[in-house]
Amino acid sequence: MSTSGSRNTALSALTILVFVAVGVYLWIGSSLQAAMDRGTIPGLEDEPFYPPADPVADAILAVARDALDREVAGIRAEAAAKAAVEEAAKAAESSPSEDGGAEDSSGGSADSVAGAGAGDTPNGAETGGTEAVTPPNDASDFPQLGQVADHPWVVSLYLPTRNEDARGPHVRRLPDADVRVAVDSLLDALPSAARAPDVLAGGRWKVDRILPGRRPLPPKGGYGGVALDAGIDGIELTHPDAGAPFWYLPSWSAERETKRRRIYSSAIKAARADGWSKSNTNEASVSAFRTRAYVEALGGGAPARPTQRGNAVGRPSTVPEIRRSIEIAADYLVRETDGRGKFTYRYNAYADKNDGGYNMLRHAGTAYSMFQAYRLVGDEAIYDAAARAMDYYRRRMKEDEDRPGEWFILDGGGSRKRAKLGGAGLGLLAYVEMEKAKPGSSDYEAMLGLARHIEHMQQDDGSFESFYNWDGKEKTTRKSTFYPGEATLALVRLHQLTGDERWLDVAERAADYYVDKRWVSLGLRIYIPPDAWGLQALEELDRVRPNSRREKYALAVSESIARHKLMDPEVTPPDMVGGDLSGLGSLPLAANSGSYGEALTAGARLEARRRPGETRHQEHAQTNLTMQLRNQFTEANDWFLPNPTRAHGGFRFKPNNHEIGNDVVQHNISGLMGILQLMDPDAPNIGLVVSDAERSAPLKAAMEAAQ
Amino acid sequence: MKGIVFAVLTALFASVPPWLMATEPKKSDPDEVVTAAFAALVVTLIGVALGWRRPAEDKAVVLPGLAGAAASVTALVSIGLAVGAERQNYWDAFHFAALFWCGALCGVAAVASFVKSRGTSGIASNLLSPAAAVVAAYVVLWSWMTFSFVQDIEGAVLRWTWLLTHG
Repeated sequence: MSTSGSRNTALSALTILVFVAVGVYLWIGSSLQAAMDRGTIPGLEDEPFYPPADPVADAILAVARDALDREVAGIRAEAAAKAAVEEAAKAAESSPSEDGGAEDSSGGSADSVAGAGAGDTPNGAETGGTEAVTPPNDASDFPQLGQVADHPWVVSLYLPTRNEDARGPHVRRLPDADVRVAVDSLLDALPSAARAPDVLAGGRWKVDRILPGRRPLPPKGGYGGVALDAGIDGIELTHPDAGAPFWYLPSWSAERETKRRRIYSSAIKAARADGWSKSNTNEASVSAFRTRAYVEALGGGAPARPTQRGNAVGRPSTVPEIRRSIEIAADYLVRETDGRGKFTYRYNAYADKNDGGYNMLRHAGTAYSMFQAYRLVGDEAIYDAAARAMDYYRRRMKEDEDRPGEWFILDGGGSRKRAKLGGAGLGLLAYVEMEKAKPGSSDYEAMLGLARHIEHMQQDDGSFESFYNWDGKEKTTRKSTFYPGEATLALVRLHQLTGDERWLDVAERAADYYVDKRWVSLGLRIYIPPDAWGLQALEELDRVRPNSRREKYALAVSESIARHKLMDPEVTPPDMVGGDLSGLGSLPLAANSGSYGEALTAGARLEARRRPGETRHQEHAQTNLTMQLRNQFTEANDWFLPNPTRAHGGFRFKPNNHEIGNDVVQHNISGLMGILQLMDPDAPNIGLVVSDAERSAPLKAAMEAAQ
Repeated sequence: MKGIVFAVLTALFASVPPWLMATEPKKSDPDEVVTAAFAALVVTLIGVALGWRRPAEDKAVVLPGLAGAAASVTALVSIGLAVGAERQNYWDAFHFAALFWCGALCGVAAVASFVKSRGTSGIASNLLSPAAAVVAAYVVLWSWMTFSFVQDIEGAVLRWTWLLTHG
């Protein structure tokens, strides 16, 4: 090569590097800058993620709880007295000659009702009679209150109501030690809508200790808000003309589903609502701050619960907790099943309203998980709701006009009704699980009809068509990632129930296609899709027809799923461990921890059975489990919801998206059932093989008729 | 003259896949995309092969290489656009694999062409590094598809960048 040629090559390489560097800077330069501007707030380097127990927080919450209980008792007593007076007046009107007696009666009645009302407080506090108007001596009862003045505190009251004015959080600072005065002033300032005793009685207190140390923020919180940690960083505005700083508390962005890029503007909006002028907010110094936040236990009385990012400390991954989690999740689904057997498709727990849409695949999957839960819990209400759901499903099934005896399910509304393979697969799964839950209960015509349809959808190479052209109008060439796995798992399960090798043969051909041909071409394996259902099918197929190639592929699927999760607790924020990466601008999807939880636990079961001594996949499943448990609504993390009773047991979409989808609950239940099988010898066998002797007479009759 | 003809043909074919993908990513027929990519590859290979026997300073050598480099880049861009538009749900493995091999081989042909003529052509010596970089990108993509440890690295990078902006 000549010298000039070498120089030209070097110069062009340098030019490329410069162009790439400039391109990267223009593309994500400000984001990188903001990322570098993040980091620990000075002075908080050793601050634990979850705040340590704090007796001062306990004391503040105890006083606040007492004040709230007294307020509720007072309102109830006042209402009772008013009602008694009205009743007495009515009585006096109806019998005017006995006016003296009516007066005596009203006075006595009011006193007695007031006493009953006062005693009927959420935590049963004795706050009636004179005690209701004579607060306890906080200073002697709670000597820790003497330390309140050592730090700035903010106390917040959340009320369970959809009314935006009443809901709160209603906030007061605690600038000095007189907590009761501050709390009473907060209660006195509540809008009338908040003073309904039932609403007020369900109130939950939270207290934030504002930590020292500030981190100046780039303009508007940095590009896309990347300089802010959603739910962990609060925003402080200070301005010489505004007096006290404005604090946008850290948990608010998580509670209010505020996306990171909007946290800054939300803080500005909140400051203006708090009386800050536009010019002051525009000119304010803006910095990030953090707090130690605690929420009271439901009904108060117990020690304050440490919280972070609008969530409580994760529950332990123990068998009783997993069982309870499944039970309350199933209860949620029971509550959300209407009389026709239709589920609430999407419940927006933050707004307390249903979102639109419906999907028959998710419907069938949800019923399937309910039968699984019934096998564990044994609650007939779960079975009844799931059976209603299957009736709903059955009414939407259609028999193939060209192929009698083959049934499929139509999904979608209007002119876009489509026969999706996944609908048949999940329906078949549900019917099989129904029979396992209660032998003799399933619809065998539907069950075997779906299986025949799935068999018909298989191609010569073992793959499945994803959409059936049932009406001659289906034009899509779409190949679903998940439908084939759903269908394959359903056939494996049908074999477990009936012992009919025909279904297992179809499933095995499909499994071999996944391993050898799917996404393989011209000497390349393009990728291994995160086929959660397919992995479950491979695991259960491996029980009856073990095959090392399929085993290896199944564990590769498990690995490909785990690869995109935050599995290292050493470097990951504790509340995100087990979360699924879903883009740089977003908190991990908790929903995927449910759906992939089913897959990871299948991988874990396969590893436990086929690779004794190895634990990698079992650890993945355990880590994923923690994310599942943290994102189920329980009394520990529902304080900010308008209707916590309804959301109880539901799994949310994300740590800062409180929508509950029936499919998300389904995936979580099934995933929890999967991990339970590894931890609890008494848990129902997920891939239960029903012996000939155990088969119900109706099932046997249906099988014989089908021969 | 032949070099110009092959270069123009290659450029035409090479422009089809990204044009289809960019204009109608959700409607483009993957068979058309792949056919264009194959056509670009064939023309590039013929052009570079014919030019290989000619003197280095002949434009017939460098121009097909130039067009091949363009085809290599457009195939890579098309793969990116297809993934971005979630064509995995509609395309077969064959479509992705064909785009990959067409792009990679066009890139290799371009590098070969530039190596031959870099001493006499300023264009060739200037574009040798970029063409090699594109081929290197194909090698990285191939290693990602082939080796799980490369996928592990990809996962680690994703986690690291997430933690950088969230941790």
